[in-house]
Amino acid sequence: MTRWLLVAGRVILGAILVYAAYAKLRVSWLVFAGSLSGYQLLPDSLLEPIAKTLPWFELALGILLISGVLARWSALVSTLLLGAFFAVMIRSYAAGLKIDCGCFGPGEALGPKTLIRDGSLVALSLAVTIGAFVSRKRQRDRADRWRPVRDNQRLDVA
Amino acid sequence: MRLLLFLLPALLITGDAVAGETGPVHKKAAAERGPALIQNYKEFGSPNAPVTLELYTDYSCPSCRNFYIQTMPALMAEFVNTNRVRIVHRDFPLPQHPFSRLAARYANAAGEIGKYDVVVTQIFRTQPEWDQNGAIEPQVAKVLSPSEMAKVKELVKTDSHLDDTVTKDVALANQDGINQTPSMVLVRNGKREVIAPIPPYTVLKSYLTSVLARR
Repeated sequence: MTRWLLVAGRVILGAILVYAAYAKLRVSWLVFAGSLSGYQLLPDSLLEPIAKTLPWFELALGILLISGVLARWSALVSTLLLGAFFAVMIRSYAAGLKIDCGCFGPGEALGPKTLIRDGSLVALSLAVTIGAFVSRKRQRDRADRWRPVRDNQRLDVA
Repeated sequence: MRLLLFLLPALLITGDAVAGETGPVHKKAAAERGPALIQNYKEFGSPNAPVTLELYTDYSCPSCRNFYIQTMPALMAEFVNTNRVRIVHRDFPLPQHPFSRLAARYANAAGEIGKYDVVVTQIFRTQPEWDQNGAIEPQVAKVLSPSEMAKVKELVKTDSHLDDTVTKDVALANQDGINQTPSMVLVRNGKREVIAPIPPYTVLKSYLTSVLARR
């Protein structure tokens, strides 16, 4: 049951990241650069490279999560990424900036709704990450417990 | 199976992203709305330019003033005067600014007598002087001859159609989902994209240069 919940959480998180990337890639990178500039955090020289690469990074991360390849590490990176986004959003909202969120493409103002949604995403990502690492540790523990028995059996047979 | 899962979304997205560059999104709407609502004096650059930038500004907005003073001259010199980009000035007076509509009225009246650009520049440049008391007229008078100023004053006082373009610009802004100034709508291949806030000029320049080089 826990395993399936973990898989479901991972796939949902991956799908959300793929959608976020899709929403940014379907418009020109200048749109996302505009949203990024609104946060007044990055130097001008970084706006273009980040606007061009971040959506592809989100896409790759989403695909890794959905496919289950490098699941623990992609979940961990997702948590760090979403956590960083959330921190920047909180900071901008607290500073009273009336800006576009830029989370899922253009036209969405930063406000309580977007903060609750992104906060929930961070929580989901964190749960998936913890679950993935705990699950992996349990698998290892189980494997370690059985290994000596198998070795003994082989000795008996010999 | 995992490889398939890995590749499928990438293929779907890549295909859609490429289609998005040239796709027919808003094409019909852009063709129907754009030029029909524009007064000529609010347009700068060649009508055949491959890229059109529609700039939504509010005369009382400090960021719009900064954009107009810092970015516009470079944009005009490098892209508009070389017929590579067309600029359309659109008014989006925000409700919290009591004198924005009056300023737009002066600018449009100046447009009627062929002095739009001069007066718009002056209104933005002197924004701190009139923004608190609405005394726009003395500032406009500094850049017009007495006869031109008399015509502008008369138009501001009597012309009931002077706000028509403002009303149309605001309606268009609402259709585009614009809620802040300055904002920009980039029109290319019939597709409209809202850029808000407008990124710094270096970023804008890089984008325009790469788009125009691909043609």
